[in-house]
Amino acid sequence: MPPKDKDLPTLTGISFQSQEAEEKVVFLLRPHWITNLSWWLLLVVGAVIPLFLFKFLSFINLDLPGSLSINLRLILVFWWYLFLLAWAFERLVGWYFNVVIITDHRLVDIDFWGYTSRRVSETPLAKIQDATYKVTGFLPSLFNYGDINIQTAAEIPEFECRQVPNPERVHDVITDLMEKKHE
Amino acid sequence: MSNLNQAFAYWPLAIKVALLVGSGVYLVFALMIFRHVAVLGDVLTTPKTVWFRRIALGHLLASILLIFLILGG
Repeated sequence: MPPKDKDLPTLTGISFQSQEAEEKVVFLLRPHWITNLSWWLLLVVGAVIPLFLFKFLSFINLDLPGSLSINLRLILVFWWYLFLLAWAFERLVGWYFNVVIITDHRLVDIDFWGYTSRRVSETPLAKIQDATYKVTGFLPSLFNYGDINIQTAAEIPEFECRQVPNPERVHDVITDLMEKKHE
Repeated sequence: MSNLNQAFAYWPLAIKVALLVGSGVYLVFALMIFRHVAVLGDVLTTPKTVWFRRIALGHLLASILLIFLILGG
């Protein structure tokens, strides 16, 4: 049974560039936070490297630290942490802003890559033909996230929402919205 | 190993020059990140977007500070 408007979950405080005045955001989909685990671990490893590097160089009797002033050593460490911050920030931005937005009118896919490129694709809900989801693997099953594929009759035939949390719930709402628009 | 250590006597100047050139390049990179985040914030606005702008600004200021640190060090 299609949901009534009052049944729709709506998100407040979220807007996007081409949003119309009466358009309500139902879902903002991005990969589950646990998918960032690999780079978090790399960040921790990177953060402790300066703590051990100079001791290691002294240990193998390479007197590089001794030939550097304390200021230069501090600058090198500062440089390293700045680089690490930029790298982690780039990963965080990539995760946070690459989203699929589902509104009560349409589906909008916002993709960013690099520091200069972006692509925004959208399709009306009425043109969605089919939606499927899959949850495979240990971590996805444990944290309840998975991929949702949305087939459309629009110019872009397929939208993919990867590693989104609670895919079953999202799939249900998309299906309900789709049926409502097809009525 | 002593020859190696003698060679390292010239390292501080070489490292300082390399860091200064690298910091200039890095500053351009930090400006690109700052601009990129500003664009992202225009395309998608959430309550947390402002924090991304603040971090990008902090990173930009830190990269400027790095140049002053190298010049002063």
